[in-house]
Amino acid sequence: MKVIVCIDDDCGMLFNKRRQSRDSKVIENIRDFTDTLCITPFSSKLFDDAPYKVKIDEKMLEKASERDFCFVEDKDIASYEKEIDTLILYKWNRRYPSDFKFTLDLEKAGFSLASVLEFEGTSHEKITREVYNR
Amino acid sequence: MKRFLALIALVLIFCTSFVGCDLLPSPDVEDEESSSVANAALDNIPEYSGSIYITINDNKPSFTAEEITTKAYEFYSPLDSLERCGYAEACIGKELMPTEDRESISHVYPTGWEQARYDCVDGGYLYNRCHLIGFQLTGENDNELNLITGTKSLNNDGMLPFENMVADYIKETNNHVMYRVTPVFEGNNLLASGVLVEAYSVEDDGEGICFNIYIYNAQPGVSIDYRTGKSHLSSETPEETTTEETTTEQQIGDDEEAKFILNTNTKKFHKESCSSATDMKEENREEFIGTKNELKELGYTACGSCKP
Repeated sequence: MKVIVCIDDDCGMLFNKRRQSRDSKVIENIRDFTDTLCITPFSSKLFDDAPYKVKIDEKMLEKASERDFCFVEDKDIASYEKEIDTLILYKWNRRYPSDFKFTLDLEKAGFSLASVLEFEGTSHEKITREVYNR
Repeated sequence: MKRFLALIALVLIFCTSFVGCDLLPSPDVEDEESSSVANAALDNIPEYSGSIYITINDNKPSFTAEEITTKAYEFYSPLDSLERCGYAEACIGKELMPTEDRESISHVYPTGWEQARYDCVDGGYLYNRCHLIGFQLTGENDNELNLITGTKSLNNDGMLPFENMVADYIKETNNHVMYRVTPVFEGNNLLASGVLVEAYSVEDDGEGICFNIYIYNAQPGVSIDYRTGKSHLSSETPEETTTEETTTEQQIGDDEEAKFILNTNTKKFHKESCSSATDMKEENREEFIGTKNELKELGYTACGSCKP
């Protein structure tokens, strides 16, 4: 499967069960990859106006096929490492508080950086998109 | 520490629910009954042990239903008798956020401003002038009611990430966030032990932003005397001369004629030897020979650091 995650400078994802940040330009940018996205109920409000189809399932990571794109906010993907062939990281380039982090060691897991894109967000000066393959 | 806990507790006893809470007391208010209740509730507040913040009351802030509003406002407590800041509170929306760059705040000397340089501190200087409500949230530049002496770690590692989260949330959603920062001073200390920060996003009932945290005014590797703000490396003993200077310097009597240095901008008066007097901008500096009572009549207040 292909996994999409947003992180801050400390690899944080959530604080107090809430996303650290959001940006509508990220939602738009995901369209570069797919016209169907898998999400959990936690993320559903983010995609109310998304310009693509969204499939909501709490167990999306267990059910995802090789071709599926999964947007992950509230799950630790480290335990699904072997099923992931492409990882897309959106970096906020900011420091936020976090108590739930992205823990996957990309080098150890054999991922290599395939592309980098920088763009301005609605509320972020610079968002960096990094795509990793293996 | 008990007294410190009691002060935090005064805040925390209002944090049990969103209902029935009053405004936070000013930090120098204490009463025995509140303190005893509070101490029981604060058994779990640990001493600083390397983590710059802890969560309070399961991250639930104490704003009451009556307080929560979508109408933007900001409030800064008046300085207390020791010239220390009290709590600062705001309903922050885009309408309060700054539209221009921050200006210099180096002419403000909050209580406990005993600047020191250490190799173990990022950038060298131990202290920052810390906005209670960050500049990026309400655009307050040099408001002395909103500036405390804070360690680099309090400012950069503790407060800034939370301010970033709130600011970016507001920019993205155009929603409002209730925000309150309460500096906690133990007894007559001039340096705050830490700050309590509460935030709650209004339009989505806290779904976007909801936290209640206590950030320590501490710096790894540095020991701080919170009574004065003086400091030394944790691995070294404090210099004896520093203590002597503090204890032997005489306070000038109210009707005693003496030479003072005035800051015509901040309306503070200083001893000639005060570091604030040395660092003051020339255009704000004025010499005055007379009594403290005369200065008070002219609207000046004594510097909290040199205590003339």
